[in-house]
Amino acid sequence: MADNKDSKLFFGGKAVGDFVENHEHVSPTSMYLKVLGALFVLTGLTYAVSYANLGPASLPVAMIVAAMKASLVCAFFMHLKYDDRYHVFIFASSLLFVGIFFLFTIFDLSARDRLHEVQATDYRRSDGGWDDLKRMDPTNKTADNKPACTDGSIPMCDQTFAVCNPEDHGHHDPGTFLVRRIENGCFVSNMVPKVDDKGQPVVEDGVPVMVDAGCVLPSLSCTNPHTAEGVKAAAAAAKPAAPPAEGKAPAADAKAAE
Amino acid sequence: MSDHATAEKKPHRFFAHHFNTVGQQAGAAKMGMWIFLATEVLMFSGLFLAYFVVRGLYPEMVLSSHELLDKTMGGINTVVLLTSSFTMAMAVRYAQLGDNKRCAQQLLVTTACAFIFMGVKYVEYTGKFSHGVFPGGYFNYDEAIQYAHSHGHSFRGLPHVFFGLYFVMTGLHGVHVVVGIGVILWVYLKAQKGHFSTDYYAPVENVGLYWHIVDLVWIFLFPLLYLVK
Repeated sequence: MADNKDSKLFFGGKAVGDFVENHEHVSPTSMYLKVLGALFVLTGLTYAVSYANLGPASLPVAMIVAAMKASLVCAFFMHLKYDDRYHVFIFASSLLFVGIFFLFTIFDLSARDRLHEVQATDYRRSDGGWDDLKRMDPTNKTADNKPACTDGSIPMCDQTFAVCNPEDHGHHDPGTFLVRRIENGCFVSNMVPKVDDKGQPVVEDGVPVMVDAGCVLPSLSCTNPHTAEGVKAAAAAAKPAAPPAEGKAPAADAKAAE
Repeated sequence: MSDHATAEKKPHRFFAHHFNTVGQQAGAAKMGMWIFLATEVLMFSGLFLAYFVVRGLYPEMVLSSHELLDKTMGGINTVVLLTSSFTMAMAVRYAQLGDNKRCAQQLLVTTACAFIFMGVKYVEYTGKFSHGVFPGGYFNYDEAIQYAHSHGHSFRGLPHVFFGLYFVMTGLHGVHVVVGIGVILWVYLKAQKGHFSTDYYAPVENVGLYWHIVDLVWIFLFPLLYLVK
């Protein structure tokens, strides 16, 4: 290696004596075999752990084991341990931005519930499923008199009942816009603008008054739209019998009296 | 000035005149590769985040759907891919030592592992397709629910969302494996021609780095999609 000021050859910021200068580390085969062995052991561990029900701990444990495997691959197979630190910097900076990406999305998601609350948007997520419909037992009721499945669990269509139940209406300010939905995307309760006799929207304090149009889907007819059964049900629901318009009844009576 | 002991050496035939040293040329190529790998990490991170968001919102749906995936098939593919990563690292080692013949052998084993991986994926995908478990809107609920019941599982929520993620994540990874087969065969041909020497092995090394990142993605995909309860 030359340190002469006249040197025209540089490598890694240092003057070198020859153009064939190459500073690479050659790892022994034994090291690669050890790393492979460690990777197999960790794979076996994560596979075995998946059969032990760790509950909420299973995700962190799996991620820690995966991170250990990833570190081994990066450090030894990808030579980062012996490599130019600049390559570590490039790789680490991508991980930094992945971290920012994940973190801010998680902030957004965790703030969503609060946002829905402020907007009075009732966004419901059901952990039920379409399969529940088939297990539904109309004669079986839960403690609070809601329909239950044959095995006693609360079916998805319970959501239909809960919001169709008139007792549920008192919990919300009637002046606020209220959308209720369950995760399958079918609206079980539908808030529509209140209209007066002339069909004009009723506005109070600059805000349209909303009224509950009632159950869009009758209880227990909440069928999976992706199944053949659901397609039939949807077709049947498309032409519902017109509900009696209570609001117009007095007017009609008055006209008849004249 | 230059040392007379090494002054007789000639640069390798792939040495570009605008580089000072062969080390600088290899380093430039490697830095470019690492920047590419960083973009790969960012691309896959979007899909991983989608997975975490869906899982966070609909845990029951994700956990009931993933039961349909075959852990053993996923496990075999993990072992195959880790082995291929090892043989790739060995190929780089032999290239560093200038042993083109052994380097080519290791590259062939790596390619064979990649084909085994794609074969297992083919069996998994066709097994799902034959029971209506298709990505996104092509998901056939009637068939899939029947399939789940025949395996003693029942879906909760809307499983087509999970399988959409499954097919996109493993599909994009599979595309990377196919590209990997192509570039590994390219360096295999170069090794066959005896192009590599102790001074020149950047192509093997950079293909190796690419192959390891493919392995790295699978290291996270496997527990998240197949194992985690």
